[in-house]
Amino acid sequence: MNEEKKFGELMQTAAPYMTLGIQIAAAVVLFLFIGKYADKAFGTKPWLMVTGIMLGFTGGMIHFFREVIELSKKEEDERRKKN
Amino acid sequence: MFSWILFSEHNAHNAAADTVHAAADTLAHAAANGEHGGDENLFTRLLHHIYDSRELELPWGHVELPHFHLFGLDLSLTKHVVFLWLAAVILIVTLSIVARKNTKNRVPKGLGNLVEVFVLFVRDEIVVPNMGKAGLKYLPYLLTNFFFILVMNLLGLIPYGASATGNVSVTAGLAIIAFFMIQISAIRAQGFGHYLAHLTGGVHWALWPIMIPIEVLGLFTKPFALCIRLFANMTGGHIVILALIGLIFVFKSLMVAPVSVTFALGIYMLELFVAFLQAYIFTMLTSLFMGLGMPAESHGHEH
Repeated sequence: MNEEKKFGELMQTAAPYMTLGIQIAAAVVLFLFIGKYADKAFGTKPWLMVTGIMLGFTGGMIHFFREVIELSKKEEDERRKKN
Repeated sequence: MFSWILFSEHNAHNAAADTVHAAADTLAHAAANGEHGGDENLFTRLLHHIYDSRELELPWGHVELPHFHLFGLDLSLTKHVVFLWLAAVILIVTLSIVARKNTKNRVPKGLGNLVEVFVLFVRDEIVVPNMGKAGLKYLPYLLTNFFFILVMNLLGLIPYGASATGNVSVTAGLAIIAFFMIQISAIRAQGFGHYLAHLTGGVHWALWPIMIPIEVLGLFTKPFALCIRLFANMTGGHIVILALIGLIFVFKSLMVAPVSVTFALGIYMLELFVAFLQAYIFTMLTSLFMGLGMPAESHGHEH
């Protein structure tokens, strides 16, 4: 673990995680707007938007955890391959 | 060797079309600001150097650039377009000379040697670790990306120069090309069916209405981050340098000059590093994202 990694290698490990944060926010915002338009169409003022936010957050979290688990599994495999 | 030189020209034209659009926007904005009243503080003067403009600043004065209108679109040349084309021309000329020279001598020297160092770096440190041997067919694109961004960044550091990468439309153009390259490489490596299956995120079908939009959104966030990162890094550095020099005029005293010039020089050195770093990061991340879409078996991890 204490082996010194080169900058490039560090970036390669870190890079897939860098967009994960934006992803959650973007998911919430996307579903917020879908909910807002649906509200306008059905005349159910705040409720579909609130549902949208919740759905977006849930989806964002599911995506986040799936991605993290997948990436850490990949990293584990690589480490095992190296040793 | 020649294919990627030609590619750079193509690349430039795509991005150029985008720049022109944004230039019109920026100019409209600037005009609107100007009408509000003539409060010319440091920041508005500073932004004047950051924004795109319709005139070139040259040692002997300002030169108005020609205006074009095509199909109702304002396609006038702007400062950033000029520097974008300049970068493309510099690359086409120097790289074709280098390519011809390097095929002649087996041991490259001078400029040929310098270019070869970068080419080998991109191949061995960026493309092969991220995409494996299968990624070598995308090497021309990534090399073009690297050199084009690098030259655009460096052009902003010479006096009277401007960096085209400090314009969000240029970086957006580059990111759009990167977006298509990432999708195309993924589809070619996995097949279209598998590519679509990956978009469902591998969850229970009841969750598909939520997960598919989020996965599709995920395709766009990566190039978007690329675009903003390059733009913000290049613009930020320029603003800091100009602000430091501007301090002399804010305090209206020469006593500040040694301090602000020293700091500006320091930031300039940092900018020089950032110019290389951002070209590297853009290329590295593009190849990494392309590599993520390729099956893991094809990665050559020979550390």
